[in-house]
Amino acid sequence: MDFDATSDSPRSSSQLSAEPFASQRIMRLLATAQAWCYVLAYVGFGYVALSALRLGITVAVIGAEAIVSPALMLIGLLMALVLYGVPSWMLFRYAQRIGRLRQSGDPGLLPGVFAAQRQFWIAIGLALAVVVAGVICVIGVDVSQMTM
Amino acid sequence: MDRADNPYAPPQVVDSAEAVEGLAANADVLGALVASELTRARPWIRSIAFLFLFFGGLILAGVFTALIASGAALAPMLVTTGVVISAFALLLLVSGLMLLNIRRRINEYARSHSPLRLEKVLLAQNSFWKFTGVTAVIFFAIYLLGAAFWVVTLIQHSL
Repeated sequence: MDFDATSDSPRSSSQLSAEPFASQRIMRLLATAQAWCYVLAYVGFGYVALSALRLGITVAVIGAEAIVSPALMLIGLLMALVLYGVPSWMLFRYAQRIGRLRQSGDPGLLPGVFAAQRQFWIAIGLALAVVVAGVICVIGVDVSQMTM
Repeated sequence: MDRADNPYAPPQVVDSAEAVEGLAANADVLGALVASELTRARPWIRSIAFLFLFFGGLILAGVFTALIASGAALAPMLVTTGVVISAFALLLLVSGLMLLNIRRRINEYARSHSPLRLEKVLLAQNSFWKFTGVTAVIFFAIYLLGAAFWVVTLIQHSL
């Protein structure tokens, strides 16, 4: 702790008052979160890249006209973008904000860090809603085919 | 005269991130702002947790029903598939429980706004990040192997 708080500038005094929120322990916990969030984000980006690569290789090897359902493959790629790409980007932004907070040590950046985290949860929630809607549609189509 | 030194200056509207950061440098305001962000995320975390628990439970129930229905004539392939699907369902259940734990910690923090409670929130979140991180890396490695096998098969078929 900095006991030499003789400066009367508003920034130094306010930083001191908010210091418990930028304690070493909180910073260490945020550093761990940052590392894992980068891992998760890169895995998500990797999954989207692999999906795109798979589409590209399929087109290159067997030709676009030979693909049974190109529309389905494109939908798959779009789904990968929505389900993995967007949440991964949100997680990446969260990790970046933690990095900025750790660099500056300014506890005032903490609400922004948690705002980025909230956006990640919203993205995951919406992605799951898309998945649930898809599952319900598939079950609905199956049931309607069985009753016909 | 500088605006900050002028006692007759009109109150400023806080509408920029910088201004909020300046305000947030006070511990009470900072605690309240962090609590506000976390409590706004809480319904999403709860919904995700319940979806994970619902689907995890549903998948487990489906696997057990299928295994019991097949009776004594359990094919090894069916058992292996059942074990793999059950493991996936367990991953969903564990993630769901971890998310409920995060929600509980956020509730505790929202009541006190104490930095110590914030540490508990971060600890609960870090358990979730680690668990999903390790799981995601394992699944990605399996996907990578599958993709490599698929490319080799595709090239062999096209030759």
